[in-house]
Amino acid sequence: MENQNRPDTIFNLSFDDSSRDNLRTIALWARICAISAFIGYAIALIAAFIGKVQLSSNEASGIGATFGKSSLIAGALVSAIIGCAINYFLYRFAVSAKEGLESDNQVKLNEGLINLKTYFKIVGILLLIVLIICGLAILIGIIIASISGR
Amino acid sequence: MEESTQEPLLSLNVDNDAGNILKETARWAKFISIVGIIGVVLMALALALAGTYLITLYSQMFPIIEGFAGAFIFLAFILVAILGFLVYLLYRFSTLIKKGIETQDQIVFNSGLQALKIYFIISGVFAILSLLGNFSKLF
Repeated sequence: MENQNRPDTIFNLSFDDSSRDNLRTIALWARICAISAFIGYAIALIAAFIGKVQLSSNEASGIGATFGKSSLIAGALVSAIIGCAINYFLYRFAVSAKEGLESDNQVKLNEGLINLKTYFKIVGILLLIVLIICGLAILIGIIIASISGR
Repeated sequence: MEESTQEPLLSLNVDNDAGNILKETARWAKFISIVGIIGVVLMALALALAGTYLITLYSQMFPIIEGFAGAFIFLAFILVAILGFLVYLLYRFSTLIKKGIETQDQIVFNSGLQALKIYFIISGVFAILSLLGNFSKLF
């Protein structure tokens, strides 16, 4: 009867001193990574808007410069949106995991781990998309090469 | 008589939820690391087979690097090696965490977390360095 109030321990593992220390360091560096990424994307956007990014000699004047600059801004904007969305989950992981460890709050810690899972999931899905695009590009290249070779 | 039930309630456990979340995290980390390992091998092969050609190509665009071809290839190899170490750490994290949860081995589980810790430390250092590089774009 005494064991009825015990928490669900199908998993007998616990976050002992060593794993707590590891998780605390992971959370700290994850936060550094996320904040650095946020600042980096902001700087890249500012650099694209104020035109500090170097254009090639063909794009440096006239219509080419306008298209070059707008494509740079669009590229910086898209990468900032995707990058910030990914790093937001990393930041949330860092905050929740730290809070969970400091207050011994299992729910907060699990919330942090869910954010870490989402972070890896988004990175994995993006990687999959990039792989598919690369595969398609190679396939199209082979088809074009075989057609022009005839 | 209920005293013995107090201790586990206060400590953090890898409960059902945390275990399942960590297992899924490990699955995605494994996928990323395997793709990463393939990418690193391809990069190393490209550097070994066409390193000098790539440097010649770059030196046409940036004439300032013309005299330092050897140093640039060496630097590129070091970068690829660090990237390789990063994806190895991610792979180690994924396999050890999964094994630790499945066998309920605390030491293996902690080793997995340690691999993730080193992964994030190296990533953090790289993030700070690239941030400094981004700052230089502004001036």
